[in-house]
Amino acid sequence: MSKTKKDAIAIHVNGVGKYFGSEPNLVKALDNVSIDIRRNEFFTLLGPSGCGKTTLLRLIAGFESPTFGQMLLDNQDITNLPPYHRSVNTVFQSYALFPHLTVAENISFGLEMLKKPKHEISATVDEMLALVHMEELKHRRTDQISGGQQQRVALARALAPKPDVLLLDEPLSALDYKLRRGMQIELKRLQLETGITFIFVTHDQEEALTMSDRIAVMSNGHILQVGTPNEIYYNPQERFVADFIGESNFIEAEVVSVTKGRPATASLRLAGTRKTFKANMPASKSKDKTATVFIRPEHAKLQKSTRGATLTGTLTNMLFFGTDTNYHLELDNGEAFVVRSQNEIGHAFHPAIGDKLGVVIDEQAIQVLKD
Amino acid sequence: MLNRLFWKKREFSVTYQFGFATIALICFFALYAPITTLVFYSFNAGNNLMLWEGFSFHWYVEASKNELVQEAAMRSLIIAVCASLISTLVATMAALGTTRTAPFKGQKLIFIMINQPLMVPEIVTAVALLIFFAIIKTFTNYYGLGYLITAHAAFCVPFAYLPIKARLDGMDLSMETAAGDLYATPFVVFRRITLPLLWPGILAGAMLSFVISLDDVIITEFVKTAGQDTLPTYMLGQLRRVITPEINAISSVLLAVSLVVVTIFFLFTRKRY
Amino acid sequence: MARKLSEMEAERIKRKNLANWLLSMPALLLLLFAASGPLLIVIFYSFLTPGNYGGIVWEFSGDAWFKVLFSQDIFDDTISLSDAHLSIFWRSVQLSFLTTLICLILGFPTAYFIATRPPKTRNIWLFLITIPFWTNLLIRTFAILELIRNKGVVNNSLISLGIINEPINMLYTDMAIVIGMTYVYLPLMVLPIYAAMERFDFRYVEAGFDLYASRFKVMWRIILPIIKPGVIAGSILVFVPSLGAYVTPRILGGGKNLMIGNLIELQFGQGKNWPLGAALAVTMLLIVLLALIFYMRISQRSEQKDAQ
Repeated sequence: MSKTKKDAIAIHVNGVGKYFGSEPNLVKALDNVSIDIRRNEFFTLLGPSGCGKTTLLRLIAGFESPTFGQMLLDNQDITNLPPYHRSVNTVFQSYALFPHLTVAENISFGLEMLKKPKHEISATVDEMLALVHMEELKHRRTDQISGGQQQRVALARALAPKPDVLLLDEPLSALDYKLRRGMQIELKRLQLETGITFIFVTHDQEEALTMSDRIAVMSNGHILQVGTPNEIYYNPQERFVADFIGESNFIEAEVVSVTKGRPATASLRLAGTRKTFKANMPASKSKDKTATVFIRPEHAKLQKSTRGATLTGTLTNMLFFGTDTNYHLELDNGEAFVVRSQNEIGHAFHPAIGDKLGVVIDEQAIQVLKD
Repeated sequence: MLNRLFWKKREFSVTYQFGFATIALICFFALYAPITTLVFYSFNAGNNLMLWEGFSFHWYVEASKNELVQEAAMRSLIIAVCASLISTLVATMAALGTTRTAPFKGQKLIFIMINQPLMVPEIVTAVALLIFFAIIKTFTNYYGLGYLITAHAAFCVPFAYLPIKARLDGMDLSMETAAGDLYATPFVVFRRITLPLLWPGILAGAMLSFVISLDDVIITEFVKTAGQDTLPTYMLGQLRRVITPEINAISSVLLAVSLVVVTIFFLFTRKRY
Repeated sequence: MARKLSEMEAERIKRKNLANWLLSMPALLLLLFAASGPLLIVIFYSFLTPGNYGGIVWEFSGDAWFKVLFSQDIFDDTISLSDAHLSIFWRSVQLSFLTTLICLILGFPTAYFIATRPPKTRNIWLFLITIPFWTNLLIRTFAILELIRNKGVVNNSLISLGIINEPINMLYTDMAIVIGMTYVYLPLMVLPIYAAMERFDFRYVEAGFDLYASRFKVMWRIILPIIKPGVIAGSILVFVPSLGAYVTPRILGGGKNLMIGNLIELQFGQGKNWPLGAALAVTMLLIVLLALIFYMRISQRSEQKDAQ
């Protein structure tokens, strides 16, 4: 596949909104959402329940029509195309395997509807069964197989017609933890093998970070940020994104000066301290006098003495996680702060609750949020 | 705004099927049009069934003055009240014996027996009762309403049984267990917990069997001794003669009774605890 | 100790079973006396000799069963298939089948319509379909009679609209019987299909659309196969009472268009041949039993599927 094709847009969502009900009970499930999803991409819609991610997925699948806006699939307008005319298949959260059909009949259903020749159908069914390692259960009824196996059949059924885009609506939520981890790897493998664009919906940030090429974080019917897992984790633009993914500390800072540029940089003083830091400043905040600064717990270091520390505080709690320990501090100005540090063998540093400790923060770890 | 309307119109619906709503609405119309027409013409002033000659209560007055109608109505009422009381009582006991219990030998047989009147065509039961009661009549020389009441009570049993059973199935045994845990004797548990909770089901069952008994034609027609007409068999007899809107008036009253009872039944069964 | 406990448990279960039987007993006795028991007497009667003025003579005879299917010529005693009885049987089966079919064609979309209403209004539609079900069968048949007679509302309005000049003769025809039975039994088709439809998960339909099935294909390949038990239940519920119909053919079929129910009644009325009537009743019962067994086998199969 050529590079230009790889970067081509598979799904183009342009100013789409979906409202339910009418005034005064109007619910804006999606409000003016625009997004481009590239071909061959593993794209994840991430957000808490009710954020609109499933609605967006259903709009792309065609089960519902947008209240306004436009959607393109490979540059073709699909906004008002019924689902049976879209080369888009869905793996449902409940799997929705047809209870009156066998595993093989479920997988061949889409191909039959597309009126493919018989030999091609049986060849594809076998190919799909092999792809998801389900050859032996070909003639089982779908209620005679386990949840994990149903999951595989649902995947095979959706992949069999070789759609341009595969939609996955929280497909792993019904599985237990171990099975889920296995399926995450499996899904990633399938996506690479088939080269189909995957759009994956989940509320599980860990799932999103491990599998995705890019993630769109959604809240209240809006897309807040789109980026690679790295960008989303290290450079969240808004407090919601930072808070939803991983653990975060938020500290109010005073803007001392702003240097114009692209991007603009600012000199900041963290609340309750004297030292200043330099950090990139979002354009929308260039006139503000204060800003919220965000620091990942693992980017701060704990030290015994308060001398030379960026912040100082009292240890209130310690949570042991195996590889790491979370240290909860109450800073001198009363705010809470968490430091996460790796546990090392022979570590000499054993603070006790009530100890007065220092926190060292690297300049690079500081990120100014838009809101 | 026009744009919004346009989108709305082309909205995709998962449940839509071509022509289904039309057929359904035609069905609803077809179900109610004949009854409505019938009720409408019961208010006709004239003798003719279908020629509208102005609004009047004439035929209601006429029907209420008709001694045969009075007697038939009284008989219908007596039979329906007795039959529904008997069937509800035995059905309640049977429901208590057959639900919320571990499967026991013969449970299926009891179930089939109770539902048997629903499965056997009414005409067959009617013939069977005609023969059977004819034998009893020659032995006992008793020709009273007892036969009709017994027959009605029997075929009403499944109608009383089903809502009571449904109610019991939805009741949590843990409530009775909790009461027993709180030192209530089985009898007290039944009177203070089971019965009050079951009451809506019992009332629903009683109402259904009342309506079923009130409306019965075939079995009554075969079992009744001469001069034991109920309202439905009286009407069936009248159909052989010149039909006047009097029949419409009687029908309308019966319809109204059924409607009221069934509405109450619906409200009873819909409420959840 | 353990043995003693299990013995006590067995004793407890035994007592509970006895209580269950005792509680069910009054209902069983009532039904045995006034429903199931008399059916056995009917079978017995079908093997007796008819009395001259109705009733029976206590003498064994296979005559009644012979007469169900064959007739003996009064003049030369030749035996032939009883055209009258066979044609009535055949007509009854045909009309019942036709009624069931029409009820299915009308009832399925109606049940589907009700099941796809929003929950708030669904109960109202359901209520509207149950009301006719609980109202008097005689009255409903009578309402149809008033509607389709020569001077009834249908003919009158068709004439006044200028669509026809002469009234269409609908009453006292087979068509009238089918119209009447369809009208009377339609709710029996709608209710079980609705019950199945209500439990139906429309995500299967979404999955079907997603896999390129048209609306027609979704109906034919997904919805219908899944709710088939409801469709069969509805069909049986309509077919059985149609076959046993007595009031509707009597009122709408006039004297000449008989069904089995009327034929049975004739033997106890004018015909004065109780054993023949009994034999006919048993025959009807057998046909119904076959239909029920057919239904049970199908529903059991789908139940097994559910259990697996």
